[in-house]
Amino acid sequence: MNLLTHLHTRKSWLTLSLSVGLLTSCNEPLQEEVFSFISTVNFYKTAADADAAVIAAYEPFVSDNYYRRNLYNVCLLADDQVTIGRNPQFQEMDNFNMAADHPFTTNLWVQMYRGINRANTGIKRIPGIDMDATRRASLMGECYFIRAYNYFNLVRLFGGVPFTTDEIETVDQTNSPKASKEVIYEQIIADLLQAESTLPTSRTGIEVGRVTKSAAQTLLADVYLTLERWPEAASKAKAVMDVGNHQLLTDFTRVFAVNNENNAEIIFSIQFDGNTIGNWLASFAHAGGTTNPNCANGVQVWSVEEKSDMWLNWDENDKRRAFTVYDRFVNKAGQTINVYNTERPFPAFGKYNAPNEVNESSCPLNPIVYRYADVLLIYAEAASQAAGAPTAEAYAAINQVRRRGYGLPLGTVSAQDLPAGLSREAFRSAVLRERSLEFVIENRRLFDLMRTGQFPAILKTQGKNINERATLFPIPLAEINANTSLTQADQNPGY
Amino acid sequence: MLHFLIKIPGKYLLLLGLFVSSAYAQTPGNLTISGIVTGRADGQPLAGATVVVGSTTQGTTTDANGRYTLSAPAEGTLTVSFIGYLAQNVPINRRTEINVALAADPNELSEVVVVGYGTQRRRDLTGSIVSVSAEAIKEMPITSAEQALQGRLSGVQVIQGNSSPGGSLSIRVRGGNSVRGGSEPLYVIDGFPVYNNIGTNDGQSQPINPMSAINPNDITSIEVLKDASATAIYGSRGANGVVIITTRRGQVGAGRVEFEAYYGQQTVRRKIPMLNAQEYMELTNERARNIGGNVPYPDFSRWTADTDWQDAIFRPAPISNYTLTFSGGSESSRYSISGNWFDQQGIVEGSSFQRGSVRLNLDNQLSSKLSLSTNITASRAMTDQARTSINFTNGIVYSALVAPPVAPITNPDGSYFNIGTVPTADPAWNNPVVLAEGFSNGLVANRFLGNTNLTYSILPDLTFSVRLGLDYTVNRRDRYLSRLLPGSTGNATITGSDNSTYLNENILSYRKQFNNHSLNAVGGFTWQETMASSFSANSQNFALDIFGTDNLGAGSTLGAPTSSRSLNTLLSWLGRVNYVFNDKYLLTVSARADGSSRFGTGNKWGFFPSAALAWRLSEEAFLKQVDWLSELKVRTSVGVTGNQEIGNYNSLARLGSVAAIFGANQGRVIGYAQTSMPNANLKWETTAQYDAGLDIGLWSGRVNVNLDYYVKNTTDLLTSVPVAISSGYASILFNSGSIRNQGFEVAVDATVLNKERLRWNMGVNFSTNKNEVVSVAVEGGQFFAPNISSPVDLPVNVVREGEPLAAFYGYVSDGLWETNQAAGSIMPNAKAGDLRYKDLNGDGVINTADRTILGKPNPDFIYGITSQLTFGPFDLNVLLQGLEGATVFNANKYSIGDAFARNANQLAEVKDRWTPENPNLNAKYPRLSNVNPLVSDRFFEDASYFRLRNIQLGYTLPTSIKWFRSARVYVSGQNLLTWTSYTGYDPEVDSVGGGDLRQGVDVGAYPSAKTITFGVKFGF
Repeated sequence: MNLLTHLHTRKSWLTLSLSVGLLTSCNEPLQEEVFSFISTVNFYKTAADADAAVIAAYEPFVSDNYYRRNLYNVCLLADDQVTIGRNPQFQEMDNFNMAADHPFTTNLWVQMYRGINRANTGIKRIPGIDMDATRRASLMGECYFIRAYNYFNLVRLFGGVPFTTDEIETVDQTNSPKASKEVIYEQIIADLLQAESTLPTSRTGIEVGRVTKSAAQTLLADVYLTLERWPEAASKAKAVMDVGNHQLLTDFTRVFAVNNENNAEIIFSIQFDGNTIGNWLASFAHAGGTTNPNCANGVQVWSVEEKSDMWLNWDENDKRRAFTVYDRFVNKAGQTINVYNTERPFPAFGKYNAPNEVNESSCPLNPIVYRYADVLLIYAEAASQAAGAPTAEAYAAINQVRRRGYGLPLGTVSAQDLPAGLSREAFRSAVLRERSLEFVIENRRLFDLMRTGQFPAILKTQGKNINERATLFPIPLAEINANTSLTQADQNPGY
Repeated sequence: MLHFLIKIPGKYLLLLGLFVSSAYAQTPGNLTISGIVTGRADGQPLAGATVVVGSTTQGTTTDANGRYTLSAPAEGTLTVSFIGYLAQNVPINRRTEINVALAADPNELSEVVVVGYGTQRRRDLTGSIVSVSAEAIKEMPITSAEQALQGRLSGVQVIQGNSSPGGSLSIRVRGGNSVRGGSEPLYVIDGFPVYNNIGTNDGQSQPINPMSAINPNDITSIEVLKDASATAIYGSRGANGVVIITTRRGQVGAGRVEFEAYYGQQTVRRKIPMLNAQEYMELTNERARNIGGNVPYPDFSRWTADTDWQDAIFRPAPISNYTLTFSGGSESSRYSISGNWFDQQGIVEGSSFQRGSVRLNLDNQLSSKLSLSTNITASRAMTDQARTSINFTNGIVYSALVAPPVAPITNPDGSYFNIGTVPTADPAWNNPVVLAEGFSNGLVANRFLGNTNLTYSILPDLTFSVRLGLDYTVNRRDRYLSRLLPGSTGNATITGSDNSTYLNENILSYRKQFNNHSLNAVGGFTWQETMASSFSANSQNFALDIFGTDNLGAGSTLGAPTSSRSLNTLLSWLGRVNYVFNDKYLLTVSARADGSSRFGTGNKWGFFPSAALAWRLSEEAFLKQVDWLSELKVRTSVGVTGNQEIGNYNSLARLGSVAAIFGANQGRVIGYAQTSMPNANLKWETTAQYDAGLDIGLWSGRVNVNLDYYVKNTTDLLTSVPVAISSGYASILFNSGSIRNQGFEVAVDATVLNKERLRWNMGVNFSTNKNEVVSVAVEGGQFFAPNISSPVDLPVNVVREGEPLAAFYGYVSDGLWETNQAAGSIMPNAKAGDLRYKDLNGDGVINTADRTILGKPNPDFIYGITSQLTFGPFDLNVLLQGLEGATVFNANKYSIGDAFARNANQLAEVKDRWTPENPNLNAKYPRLSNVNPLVSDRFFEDASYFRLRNIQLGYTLPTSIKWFRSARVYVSGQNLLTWTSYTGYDPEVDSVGGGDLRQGVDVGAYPSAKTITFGVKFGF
């Protein structure tokens, strides 16, 4: 249709221009005619437009600088379980001594805010669209969730940050001022309460992978946990447990299997098909280059920090260990290779396996944001903290996770259960250690270290030359330079 | 050199004078003499050439077929002359048939010069315009016309980014003006304006050169318009200069056939000396001992291979070209038709370029008032690209340097060896031969370029012409990564694009001479519109390699198809007046108003005026008596031009499609989001240029000197201005910032010798350009180019106020550490023998703040020397060319000269190193270890060079051979000698290319070749 109109204008133009010199106003034909994209004017009219706006708010998650790899490069390298033996940019992240212009934090920041801006767009535009009210509320719920999750990541990594809930369309709407952590958390909680009340309890068919009520509740539980609002954290986690839509798989390895994505344990994960959109998880985790059968090219961007408690003290009988980390592997030729005899003599991670990925960036696994083990461990920690001592339910929650780790029946008392009668502090330590083993390279460890005040000091004990004046990541220099509402005084300490 | 040139001709002229006068001994008795006068370059008859007897006025002119008949003394001399050619004195020696082939006069080259929307006599020019003749274009084998500009024209720099067959070139006329708006000149091919968007190396495919669609043999002249007076008529497209290409047209006369062909061999110009297998094992073992590990090669006898990977991927390669031209016609209808086949195999395995083209130029006099001029070119160019990508692990050339020599090419069973299994290899490295075999990347570019110009003479002095044209290109790229490549399961991609540009120009021309006044005016209205569309489809996971890209359905994993369409429109009013009074005072005023769809709603129309004045002092009474001074013209011009290469749709708020995956079956779901912020004020980049020039002609034009000084201030640079990234946007396109280019140009052409059997023309040109970024609209007054790919992973070019555009940036090395360092040192982790760097800011630590400017990719000056020597039937043409003051970032060396930091094979010179046994602090290389070097001055090299670009020796056979009207054979050589201190393949390199800010970077670039060709040219 566009093309036809266009040809018509061209013909008339030829006629017109042949009759030289009669033209006075020539602006009309100079309006740009667009084909491969649309403009804001003729959009946000229908239910389909509303859905497209929400999809766009999810899209930053699958970008290179978020769940495809960069979020992991930041959260994993900076924790105490992951290291890298090369490349200064990665080593700065590993040693937590990056400058404010570090591209990883800068690029991650952009994607988080892109998600926020698109969620803000949805929140502003969708109410004006004439459509089914329940569907509208559900789509709004997704926007609230996405905004809350991005701000949650920002506030945990960077502290107080530029904050807005308005859509940004033009350059004069940029320059959001910095808000305090407290203000941002307030908005996060408000958004998640909204999301919780409007999101559907489950997703089927073409909507599998989009957020649910349980996802909102789990996120909210995590927010409360981070804020040490224990009763609320416990109650939100309990709500997810009580609904019963999710459960632990009996086999830990099946949680991460290529052919078993979106299994009963997954509460929210970022969807990749590995074909049109893939990620780098498998190749970044594994060793052995193209000879490793579990990935296209094991480049070990993330290697095991051999000074970590996880590597040094993880019980060999825990079945999760052999699956999660290794120092020898069987290559494609069937030979057993000891990683210490290779050019990159570090143990590697085996958690993400993509044996059929076409190249190193086409891992089809869905990076997990929340799974049911999270809910159980959040509940265990929060319930015990709230009650002043571990409750039976708290024990039951963590023991389920431990039994599954050892390959034991989930409902049967076992020798691997936590000893009874632990103090509140001892129980919390046990939960935190459990989290450190359960969620290796799942972006949990750094946030646990941060919320318990161990970060970055724990890196120093591993001999890393850290930036001791900093406890948070730097607000990107590009933001401070370009945002007229910020000055160097708004930078986090240590940068 | 300049001094020498100016002095010498005078002496020879004097000698020549004596010679000629002594030959004038008249003897009685007249003969009737007839013959044909032709142009030496193309063998075409020259109609209207003057043939006179000796120094008398007695003579005649040639007819439409170049024939003449006259009566002259049997022992006399004929003087044959024609505008734009060197006059020739021919002793009659009692002959009755004398055919004369005149050589084009390089000084008077095209007495008539093609300018925008018209022609002008060279003597009437007020602007700065330089030309290259057909003869010069044919001196060496070239793929596309712009290569012929190299070294021949002042102020014109040709940058051969990568030397792959069909690879793209950048042309910089008086320096680069733009940060991201493109700095390529506008090309006008037989009246059709074409922007040569050469693209950049995206790491997968190298850009191809759209100009390679035109057969260089078809070209009669190339004009380069440099100053604003000449380019302002092209308005918003004139800021980077304009290159006008004119192809051959038919001449009145009997039908003629011409056949030209050459065949040559190319070999890699230089191999980089690398370590052999024995040295590699010894040195990697030493590295392991230095860093306290097990030696990787305890037993040398296990590794019997000693592979020279450069030999494995380079090959001698043929180049050939065949052109057949038919031309002729009558007063009312003339034609020139040519067919061309060009075939260049690349010196890197798996690369080639082939072109088949047909051109048809017609001139028809429809009535006494109406004439039609038509130009049509149809061509098909096929490029096979070797994967000389900028990527560290999968570029062929890069891999061949990095690959361990201990690895064999193949296993005993004939399969390819996986070099990632060598103990010291990075598992990600690929066998270079597998990269050549396993990767195919073919581009077919079909181009139709045609336009027809109908001219109506309203009055004898007033004509109106309408030009209609179409430039239509259909390209298709087929890329296949075979299963041979490690990790690949077969990956096929087909990308197609379809671009059409319609042109309509309506021009009114007026020419009038009255008394002492001469007026030449043009005015008109033009419309040009380009629609571009593209699509791409991909498929992976093939069971077999046999299909390549010919059966996408055979792949079990289908990628998402993509497509796009865009449109831009340019409407223009233009006008120019040339006024000459008394042949002394010249004035040119021109202006163009351009309306472009690309500009923001607030700035749809731009106005580009210019004015120029010239004064031919040589016509003044006080200088007219000075007979050695034939021309003295001072000229000055000022004007404003623009650059509209700011891309389509950049002023709009766009909602783009973005994809995510959802659903139980994991399907692609499309969302829409605003992807750019609008800027209603977006407009062209503006260049204001001032030019002052001096043209000097000495001894009746035997020596011509052109001097120019210019200043170009480009403002309103299209810049990606960062916005607060918490908006979710990184930047907005804005017009801000400015760049200044200023320079001085000298061109000298001299006919050193001019005898019948011995003629020597020489030309020298020399141009300086100083480029400076005046202001940048970014906090801190600087921003960086994109990163150089791994293992550098950093930008090395910076755009910084007060520095040249894309200046290089890095650490300063400071020899080697004598002792192990400890806390308190500027490099506390350094060991004895490690590289030491300068703590420039003195803060006691080496960090990013210690980087500084280390050079610039653009040269201080460029120069060229041409020489054409004709001795009887022999001719010798030489082109020497060079530049001074440019720097190249040798990114290859960052891997192969890093003292084994990443175990890549190393330059042979790495043997000169610090060792624990011989702790030589003056060694060229540090302790072998796993310590990564910083991006320091060690990798920025002086890329100045001087080279024998071309030398050609020809022999013209006697024209008395039956059937042949003319016949010439020649042998030529390119790049036979180069003087440079650059240690890479070639100092002429720009791996990324195009308008990218990563300039002057050598990262796996396709190396240059040395070529020897043999050629023939026959006229029938």
